[in-house]
Amino acid sequence: MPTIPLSWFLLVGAGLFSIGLYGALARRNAVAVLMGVELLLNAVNINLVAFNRYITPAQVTGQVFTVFVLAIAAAEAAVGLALIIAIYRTRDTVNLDEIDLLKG
Amino acid sequence: MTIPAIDMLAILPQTIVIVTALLVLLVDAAAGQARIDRQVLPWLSLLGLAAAAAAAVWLSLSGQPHYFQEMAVADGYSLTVMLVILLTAGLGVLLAQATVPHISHQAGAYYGLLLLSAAGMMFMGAALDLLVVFLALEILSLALYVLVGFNRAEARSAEASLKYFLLGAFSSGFFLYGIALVYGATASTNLEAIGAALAQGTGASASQSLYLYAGVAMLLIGFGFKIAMAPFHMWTPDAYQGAPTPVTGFMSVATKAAAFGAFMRVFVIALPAAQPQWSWALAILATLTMTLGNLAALRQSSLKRMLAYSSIAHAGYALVGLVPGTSQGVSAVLFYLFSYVFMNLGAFAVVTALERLGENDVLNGNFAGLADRRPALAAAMAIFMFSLAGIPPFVGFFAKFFVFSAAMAEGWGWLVLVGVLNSVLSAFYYLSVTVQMYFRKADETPAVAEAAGKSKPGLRRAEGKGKKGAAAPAAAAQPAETALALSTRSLSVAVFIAALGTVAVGLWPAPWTQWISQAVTAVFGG
Amino acid sequence: MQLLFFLILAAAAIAGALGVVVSKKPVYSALSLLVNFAVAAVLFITLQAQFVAVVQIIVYAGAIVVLFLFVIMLIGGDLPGVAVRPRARAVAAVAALVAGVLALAGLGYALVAGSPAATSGAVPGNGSVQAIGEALFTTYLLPFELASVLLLVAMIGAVALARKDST
Repeated sequence: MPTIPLSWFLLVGAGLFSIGLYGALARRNAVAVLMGVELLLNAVNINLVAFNRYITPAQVTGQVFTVFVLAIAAAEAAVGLALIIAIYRTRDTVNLDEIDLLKG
Repeated sequence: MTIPAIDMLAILPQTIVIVTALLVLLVDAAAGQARIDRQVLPWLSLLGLAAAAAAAVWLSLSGQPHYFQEMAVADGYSLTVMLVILLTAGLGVLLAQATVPHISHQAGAYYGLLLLSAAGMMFMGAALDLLVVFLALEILSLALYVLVGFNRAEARSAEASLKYFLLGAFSSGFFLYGIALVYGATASTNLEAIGAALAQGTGASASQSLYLYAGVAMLLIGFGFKIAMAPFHMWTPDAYQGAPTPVTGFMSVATKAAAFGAFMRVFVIALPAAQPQWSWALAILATLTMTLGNLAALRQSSLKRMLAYSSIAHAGYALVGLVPGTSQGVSAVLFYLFSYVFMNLGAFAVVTALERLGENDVLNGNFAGLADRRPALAAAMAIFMFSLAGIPPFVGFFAKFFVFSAAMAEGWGWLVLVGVLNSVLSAFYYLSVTVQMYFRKADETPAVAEAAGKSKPGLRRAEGKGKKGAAAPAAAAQPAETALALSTRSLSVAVFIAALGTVAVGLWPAPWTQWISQAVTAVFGG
Repeated sequence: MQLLFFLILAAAAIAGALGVVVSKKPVYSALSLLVNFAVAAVLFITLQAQFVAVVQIIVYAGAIVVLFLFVIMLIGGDLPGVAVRPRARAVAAVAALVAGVLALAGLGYALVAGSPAATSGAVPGNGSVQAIGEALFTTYLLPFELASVLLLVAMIGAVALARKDST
């Protein structure tokens, strides 16, 4: 087995996930929030590939999963950024604090 | 490398829907040159949905489950979920026919995305692998994000879309992390393989059970977002209120059906080993969901927002059926989703009919005196409200009854009590709509005047929308009776079908429950 | 030695991620995101997932980050309407982007070629294009087709959103 324990990779993944979480929640700029979401997906990719290497080394499940996650991340980014541009055209802002017409 | 044998029948209904979506897009693209009226698009969509439904019925009558490798299956359970989704999509198309021409010039994209999201939802119910669940979830979500923002003349539509998107993307991050952890604990993403591995005690070691429980919790969060379960429901009121009403109706029912379809299969088939834990978690979350939804719904003045909170509460009722993790509970939830199609989509159809041109919402006050002006519409709305409140003999009563008795059978008495109390609470706001319709005169309530002045400059409309922006105040200035400009024949048909379903399934529930419980028992065991 | 590599990579990945969330300017966030993705690609190589690593660079760095940068340039950074010399910033960003991709791809290659890190226990060729391709077209055929539907949805959606809605 490789010399670096699995848990270290998972630790890195978890760290990145938490940072992404913070970014997605704390930032007020919609583009920055979307970047936080991309960080989340990337953190999971590290987990998936590490699990693949350590737990099912003879299969490619985790790696294939990662390839699909990449496709999904790209699709999400495309739709999300198109949405952000559509909002920016009408409202001149991407600040989530100023986008607040909907209130109970 | 050998090419595997493939049973295409397993994905026949979904394939039909996807092909229809492509046809719709092609016809839309050609419509400009070939002088085809774009009114043909909804009919084409309906035709495709009907064909897919016919295929699903044929497959389930043939009895034999069809497997697409180990990825998806067409068995009784998934076909039932598919039929619920197809029915919802059909009604959604009927509703859209009245509205889409007024809000957008991209009818092709609208119906195409509606059909593709329906296809994604159908794959949710059929998925046997977490990878397929995730991809299907993303297909339906991406299509819905765009549909929510489809009303370009309404700034709130785009805003709802952005909020829904950011929270949805966020939740798929959680869902994916959950999948990764479950994969780490069990070395597979296939639902049955996960179940088998856990049954053999694979997840027993300390680190594995840590991954497993963390993973299950993350999956729960991911599904919770999609079915609008508290405390992950924050996006729901905004998205439902801002979206074009036909989209709200479609997503409020179909997304729930799809997410529950996958939710139940994942938790009951793959994760029975962790059932004591997730049952308790679900019971607490269901309590929270019902109570928060109903309490918030009591305070709403916008009808769409009220229905949004009501749909949160209904997600809570449906969750009660999943808590025991039995096949009785699963069939009760399926029946709940089936009946929810009629009553909730019916309510949204009435809202659509009452909307004025250029306006995207209806205040409670707009209902005042509706019984005098539109007696048929008012009667239909009363039926939907009674059914949503769970008053017999409408279908909503039986739906709640089956769900609660499934929970009761496994000794979740306190949960059932909470559910019943919540139903009583919800009756207040449902019945107040009925009271408005029948016992108030239109001019008594100040809300109508408020609604008339509602096209305020604060809502900045899109550039180049001057034409529509001017039309809205003109329509709003007219008296309420003549402003019901949106109602068309297809809308009346939708209201009629929904009301018929609410009453008929309520009066004769037996054949439907039999069909569902047979389908579920074949898949989930006795 | 392996441990040292790993720790450096981990630190770089975390630093990149932190850069994304704390940077005041979205452009810096995007570039930090690039660092994070590129380091993750190197981590993938140490985990014997060469194909995924390359795809990570191509899709994330080549497509997603560039998309982000385009949008940030379009809407003018964090202060809408008062973007300072957008062209200069764009040039700097693109230059940094290209340099970053090249440097990190090179580093990744050097790691793979130079050190036989963590190979024991791995099945040879498991992360190769052939292995992944075979899996995609046999076991994962349905997800593969679903991914095409997903991309179709994204395409229709993005066009519908971005198109000016005129008669």
